[in-house]
Amino acid sequence: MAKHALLKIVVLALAALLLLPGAALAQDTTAVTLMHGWTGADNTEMLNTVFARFNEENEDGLVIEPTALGWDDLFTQLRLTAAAGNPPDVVMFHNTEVTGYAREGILLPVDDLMAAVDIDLTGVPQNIIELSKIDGEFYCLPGDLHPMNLYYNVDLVEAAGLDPDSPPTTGEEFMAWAEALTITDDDGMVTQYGLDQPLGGSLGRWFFHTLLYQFGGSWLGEDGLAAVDSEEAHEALQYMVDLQNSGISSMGSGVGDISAFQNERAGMVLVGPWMVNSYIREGKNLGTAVMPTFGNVPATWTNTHCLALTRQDSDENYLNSMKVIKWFLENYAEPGIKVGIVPVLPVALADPFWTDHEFAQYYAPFVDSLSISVMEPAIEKYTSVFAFGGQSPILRNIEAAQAGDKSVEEALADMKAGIDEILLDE
Amino acid sequence: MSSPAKNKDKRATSPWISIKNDLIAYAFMAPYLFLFVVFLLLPAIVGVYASFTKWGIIGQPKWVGLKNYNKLINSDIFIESLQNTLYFVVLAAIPLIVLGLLLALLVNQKLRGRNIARAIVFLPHVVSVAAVGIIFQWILERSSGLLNYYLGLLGVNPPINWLGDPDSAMPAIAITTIWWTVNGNMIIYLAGLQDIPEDLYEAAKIDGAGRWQELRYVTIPMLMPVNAFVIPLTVIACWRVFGQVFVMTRGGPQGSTFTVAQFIYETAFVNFNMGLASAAGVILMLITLSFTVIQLRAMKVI
Repeated sequence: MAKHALLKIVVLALAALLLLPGAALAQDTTAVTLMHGWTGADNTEMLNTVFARFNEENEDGLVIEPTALGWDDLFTQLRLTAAAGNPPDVVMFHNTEVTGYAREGILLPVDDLMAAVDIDLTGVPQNIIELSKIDGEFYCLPGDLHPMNLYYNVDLVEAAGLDPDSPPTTGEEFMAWAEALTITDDDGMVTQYGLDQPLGGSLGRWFFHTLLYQFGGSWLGEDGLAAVDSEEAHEALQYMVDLQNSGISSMGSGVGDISAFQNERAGMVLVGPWMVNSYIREGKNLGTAVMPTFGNVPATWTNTHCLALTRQDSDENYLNSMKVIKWFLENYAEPGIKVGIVPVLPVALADPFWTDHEFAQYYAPFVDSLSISVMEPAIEKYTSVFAFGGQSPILRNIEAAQAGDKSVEEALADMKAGIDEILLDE
Repeated sequence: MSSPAKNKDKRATSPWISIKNDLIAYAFMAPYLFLFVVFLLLPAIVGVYASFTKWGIIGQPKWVGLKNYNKLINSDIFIESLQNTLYFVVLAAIPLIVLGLLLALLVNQKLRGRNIARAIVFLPHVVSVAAVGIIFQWILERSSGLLNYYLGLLGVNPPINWLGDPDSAMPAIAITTIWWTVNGNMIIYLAGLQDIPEDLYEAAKIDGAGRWQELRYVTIPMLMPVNAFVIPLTVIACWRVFGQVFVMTRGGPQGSTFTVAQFIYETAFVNFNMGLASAAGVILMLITLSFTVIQLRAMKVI
């Protein structure tokens, strides 16, 4: 008998141990689910530590429950969960992708909620603020920018007799550096290139975008169709091809490859701030500078990560979700430095974590280039027009022009036809 | 009084016993059948239905009849993806089958260390596609890749831009695929070789057959059932090539490695045109089915 009583007590105690923490959690905390695309072991782990800090620090009992997915998976899951009536409370993706999801009714306009939690966007560049709005209403809040700029290998620059403290700012200066950095052996083979310009790929597209806007062009015309058959677009693509043919540029190994700079076989490369950490980790003696002006006006490609709220069946968690967003934006310095992106909120840029960090000097040109940063048009069909896959008429035709398989005129005419076909498809 | 043999026959032919045996068999098959129906058959049926609709993954599909098929037939990119995939099938499937057989013959020899050799040859099979893609990006790298280094020693200069040149990108993907998956065929052929009765070879030897004749008149005919399995499976797998292309080239340069599977993926999960993607999937299924039927007929299996 006593044996049975003891057994009962043990079983009940175990049950209580198992159930009590759950009950306590259910009573004291409110979950805010957040879906993001910062995959890769380092990024996901780093974000989780930031979220864990929020979970500890906040006094409202809010707990961020993150889900990390690759970008394509995120877009699919966002649609599917929204269709099933159970989307994440918060989604973090790119500003250029917001319009499509807002038009589909998946995202929520957040002006009232911004006012309720007192989010201050003073000091954020006006072009970024405008891109966060659709029909005058905020649909997302920008967290960072990651503009494309110039990296150079200080050791190779010094060996070429150049001054690493005066990086090129114009096309002419850039060519002078590139020529000085290009080394040819006795057989006429190039052993070191001035520039690691990739063949097509995302970097090829972003460099074309940069040149397009530097020469005064744009992707779309007033009729809403592609404007890449313009004189400015011609100048931009011709500039890329001429760089390729000048013998100073490596054109990589495979689409989008920039391993020549990584392997110290090229002195310069044009890429976003996310490479700072890995280059420094590899022990490179690194220099960074604002994108030189090759065309008529300063401009460089950028995109932004932003945070948006999804429409829910009930509005009870909207305010909590906005509190999470506010905290995250104000504490963007840590993910900024660790991922390699530039926060846009002045409060985050003034955070000692950002200003006092040993890598701050490398990010300074990226902060300086915020005012000349230009995003691709945030159209409803952005993910189709500006896709990275094999169907992309932009990538195919940039690659064909670079490889000399199409003339610049042919490539741009085919690019326009391809983009227009996507835009006009019902 | 009936004999024990008669009783045994009665038991064997009893309808209850037969039903019981059937039920037991179905019970064993049930877990697989459940998964097959839920995860393969039903999605395939829904896919065929979706191919006649316009559907953006959310909302209700809208019936559009043959519009998606008409669009595909007139799509230069889809036709190009079919041509690219056929090119890959030609480049990869034949070596996968021939090399698979040759490797099986090699590791079937009674030589010292053959088990280690089998393990080494099979090792690449357990590597994930992402790792294979990245490893071969390094190997095929233009300036510092291992392959170009050795080709350089043989006098191949300038180095080949394997993944950056539209002419060499698909062969590079095929080489990668062969290295990665040939061992799967090898294992199946090896099992087939070990099933060939030894006395057939002894009889051939008595008849004066040499090694080549043994291979031609004993081994290859006896492997026909294995070929009926390996050849269609290899061809189907080649038609469905995706992972290594996605990792290594994403369909570039200039769309030269853009395959049907990538067309389906991008159409479905980048452009969210599930109807068009499903139609492309149905066409791919019909192509692989046709190839399989033709091959099996040629081999007189059906």
